[in-house]
Amino acid sequence: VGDPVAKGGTVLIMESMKMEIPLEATQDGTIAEIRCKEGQPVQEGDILVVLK
Amino acid sequence: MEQRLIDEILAARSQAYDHDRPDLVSDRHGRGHLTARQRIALLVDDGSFKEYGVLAEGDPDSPGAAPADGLVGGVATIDGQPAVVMSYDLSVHTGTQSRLNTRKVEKLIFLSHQHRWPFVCFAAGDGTRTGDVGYPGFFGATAPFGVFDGLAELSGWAPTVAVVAGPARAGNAALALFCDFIVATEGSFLIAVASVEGGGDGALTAEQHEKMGDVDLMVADEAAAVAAVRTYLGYWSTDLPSGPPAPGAESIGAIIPVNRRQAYDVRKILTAFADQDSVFELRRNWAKSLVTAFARLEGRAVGIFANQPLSTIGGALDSDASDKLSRFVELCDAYELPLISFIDNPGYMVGPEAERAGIARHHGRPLMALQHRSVPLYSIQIRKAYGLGPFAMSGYGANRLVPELRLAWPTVESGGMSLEGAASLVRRKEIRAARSQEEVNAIREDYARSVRDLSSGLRAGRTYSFDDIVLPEETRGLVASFLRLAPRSHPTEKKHYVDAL
Repeated sequence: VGDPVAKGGTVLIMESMKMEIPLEATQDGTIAEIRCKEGQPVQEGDILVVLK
Repeated sequence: MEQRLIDEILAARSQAYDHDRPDLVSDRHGRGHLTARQRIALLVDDGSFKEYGVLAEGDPDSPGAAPADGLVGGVATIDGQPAVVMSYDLSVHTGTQSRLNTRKVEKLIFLSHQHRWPFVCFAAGDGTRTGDVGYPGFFGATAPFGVFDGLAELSGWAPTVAVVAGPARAGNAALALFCDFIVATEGSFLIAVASVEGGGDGALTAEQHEKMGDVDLMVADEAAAVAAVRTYLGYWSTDLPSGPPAPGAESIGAIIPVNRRQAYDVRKILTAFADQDSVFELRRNWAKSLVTAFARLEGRAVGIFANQPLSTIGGALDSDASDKLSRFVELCDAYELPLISFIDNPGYMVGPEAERAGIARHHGRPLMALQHRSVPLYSIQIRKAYGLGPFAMSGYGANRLVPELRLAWPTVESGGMSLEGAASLVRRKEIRAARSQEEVNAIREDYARSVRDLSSGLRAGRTYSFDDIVLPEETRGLVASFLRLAPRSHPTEKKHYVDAL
């Protein structure tokens, strides 16, 4: 939280189908909130990270 | 000739044109739209539009009330190639379909069918015109088929394109949905099966339809839609003598991460492989585990489909991706576009959820479509070739319709299942005895590492599992040289229709 990210930068890595899928920032910003824990199962549409 | 006869024709014709309808022009512009005539003018070559039925009016007793009876249509050239174009006029009875203007549509479909000219329609409008007088014309029906049987005849014979800019209800939406390619502008909506009682309620936005695969491409406005239509038609009509490689073509191999479990964006592969700025993606926001695009390779128009490792299902084929793949193959085959597939596929989606989504019924379609194609297919195996998935991407078994050229990159790994999956079977006793998930993962990864070389590119080449194992940067030139050996054919009969799915 508080780290700056650039558009296209990897924010977190999801694992699915035994693949590591980087989640990229859609815009420049700083990480305002992280709403998931490492190893936590997630659903499509879940909010994992909030940028501001 | 009596001057009065000439003058009244010229006056009536002028009434149908935008310059005699300043209120209409400002009203359309106020809503952020172009007029029907402006849309067509933007699409076609300057001065090439030859209109059918400019004087037609649904109610001849109120002259000038319904210019061209709300449908502007005719024959023109687009980038030098003949085409049929039409647009409903949203300022005339809200772009509705009348008996008279439907006869114009039928005539235009007939022309498209007769000459194999692309059919382009701006489809938005409110469906059937209520209270339509339906004045009987002297010749009655003017075409050998109506609108929907006509569009069904065109399917797979002449490319059909719909632009939806505004509301498209009932028959207007159906017209669009019968077309091969649908581009919609932001803020538009479609409702195909309108209920009279609901007054058209239930319409979904074009953006929602795009996420369901109904709309091929979303764009900001009509100008962008027109640009997309021209690009699309270019792939059907024109092979260029050459084309420049994309910047980064030489370093295409660097897109594949060293870590074999790390995903990458297959769109970057397509962009680096095809001619510069030539990739035109369809249905981008539906069935995201498969990318479908038109592109050019040294000028030749081709269709490319590719698994998307970056998708949430890691490039697996689910029901939607199976439909997307099948339909794309059928579309390219009907209109003689060679196919190229990039394969990195962990297989079909399996499990109860996939079964409930209909994978049992959908999974055979890609195999059917690939078996029934006659255009050449060149397949490039990037990484994973597990289970039935690779067959869905390149055709089954040892029949005549295997790819002309089945290539793999050195990163290929193939087998009946993933290396980690195989570990679960081969080392199951150790895995059962493991005390933690970390220990299980370690056993699996150890096994995957130990057998990795058995499924490597070199091994695949030595066992002649592929026609050749090539370096990524060699692939573009090699496939292009094969395309030069197989010039585009022009069948004189329709091969098959293109399913709307």
